[in-house]
Amino acid sequence: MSAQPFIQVSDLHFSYLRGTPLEAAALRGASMVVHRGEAVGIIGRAGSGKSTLVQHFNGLLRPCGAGQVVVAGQDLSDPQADLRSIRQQVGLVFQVPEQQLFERLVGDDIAFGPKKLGLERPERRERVRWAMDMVGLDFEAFKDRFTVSLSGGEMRKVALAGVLALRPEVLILDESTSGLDPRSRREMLARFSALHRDQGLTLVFVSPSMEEIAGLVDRIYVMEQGRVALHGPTRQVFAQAERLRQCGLDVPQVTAIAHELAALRLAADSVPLNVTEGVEVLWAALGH
Amino acid sequence: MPVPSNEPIIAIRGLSHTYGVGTTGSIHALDGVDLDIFPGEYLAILGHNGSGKSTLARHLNVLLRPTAGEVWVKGLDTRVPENTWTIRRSVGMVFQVPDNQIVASIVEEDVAFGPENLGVPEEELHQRVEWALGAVGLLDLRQREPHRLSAGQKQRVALAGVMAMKPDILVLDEATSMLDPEARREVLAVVHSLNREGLTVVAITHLMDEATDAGRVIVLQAGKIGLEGTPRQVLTRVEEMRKLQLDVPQATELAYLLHQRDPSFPRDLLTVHEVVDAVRQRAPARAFQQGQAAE
Repeated sequence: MSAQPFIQVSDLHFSYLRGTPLEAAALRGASMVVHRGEAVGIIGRAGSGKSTLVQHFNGLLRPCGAGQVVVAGQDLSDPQADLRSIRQQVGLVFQVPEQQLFERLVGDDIAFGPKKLGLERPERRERVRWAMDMVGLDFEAFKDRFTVSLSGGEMRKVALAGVLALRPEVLILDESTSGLDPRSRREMLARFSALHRDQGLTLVFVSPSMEEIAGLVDRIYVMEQGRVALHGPTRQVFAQAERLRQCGLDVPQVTAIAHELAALRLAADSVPLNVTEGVEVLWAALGH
Repeated sequence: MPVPSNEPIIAIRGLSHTYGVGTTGSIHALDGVDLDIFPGEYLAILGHNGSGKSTLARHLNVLLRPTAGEVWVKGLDTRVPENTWTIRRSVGMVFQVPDNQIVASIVEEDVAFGPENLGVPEEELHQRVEWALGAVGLLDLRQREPHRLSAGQKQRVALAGVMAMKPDILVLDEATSMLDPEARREVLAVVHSLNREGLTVVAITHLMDEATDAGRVIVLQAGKIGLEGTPRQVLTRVEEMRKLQLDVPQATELAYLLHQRDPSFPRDLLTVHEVVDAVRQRAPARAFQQGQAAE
């Protein structure tokens, strides 16, 4: 982790339809940092500004007025900023990633980015094969399938593979795994975790599932009305169950159980984040 | 909750569905499903991607017809083309992405769209829109533009549009899987209150919090019914659920693991509250001071 954050957002404001009667403020002074090699979670109720915030991370939205976004040393409010290099380094996958598909064949869709990077055919093919493996799509079985013939879950995987094939340094998943079944989601997240752990991929993870986010990230930012309401190490954030509920969120079930037992003075204060940790808390409460 | 009658509102007999019949790439999505759905019940259908659950849902309002077997809705055979519109009027569907289901630029116009097309007279149309918006709690937002609403509100607009058609059966095809926990609770609360008033609900889902509150759960696996019973009977079969590639609620998994260590701990628990209660009943009388660290 270097001293200079890879992404630094300071006091960022953003409104949709600015200057019209329909102007709607989405960000009202949000600040956060993401360091190289970190896994960071962003949570918050619908409309709290999460998606607007992460769309600033690769220059899809630009700061227009108050606030600053610096990514890989470049100030994105500067019209001269090299967005091409930013987008190569920061991959963003949306909530409904099937809307990101446009080629006829699966293989071509995933190869589109690498082709734009000017990679030669053999290397493109390798990238596509690797990216498909990462999302759990068999290369031979799927590369020549029509994108329109895929199931919703498969489309999602193709869109993810298309972003991975760019080999970004930062991968932003904006609720991109909602709607996948538990097994596909678990397998895909395990692969991303491995990339994070073994190859230093920086992950920014927006998810509505508290159970999922608890197991994946080191730090969490909680958004509320366009600002960061709460942030800190994962365990510290989930210790504040009441505050999270005020923000329209919840804590994982295991955390809620430990919290209630502690309130009843049946267990010591603790913040288990997964079932393995939770079972020990309950076992102790049962007198073992 | 109304007591389900013995006469099924939907009867499914030996239903099979094959996509691409006669081609090399044909896929058997459903394989001989027998299922009765009773008036006023809340049925959750679980299964991983590709288990056939969405295919089954599409048979309920004739978006698909059986390649073998039969589906009867309120005594009408879905294979008979003349029955299509009557059946679709009885079976309302809400899908995963509400944006694809919203057609008008003002909330109340969107809700009126369906019944208006049915030729419902002006006076009754007005009452239906009023009722449907009230049922989903959107009366305040009736003049708003749907695309500027939150995801949970949009899904409630889609639900109101379906309810304004006065269906007997509501099919939710992963209708809450894209919503955050608060919006999901919001939509499910509406659906449960409609169910208490007699609406038959079929919820296709892979989310456990949706299944725990259902009256009955079936799990589809490779186009067949793998497990069936009350949420407690089905969801607490942790090993079988895992084999079917599904999750169980964390509370259930905790109870299951504690039961393995101490067989006197109940293994059939579903909720946070039940686990807390079970621990409380069994915990030795020794008070922990708040703020005391774990040993």
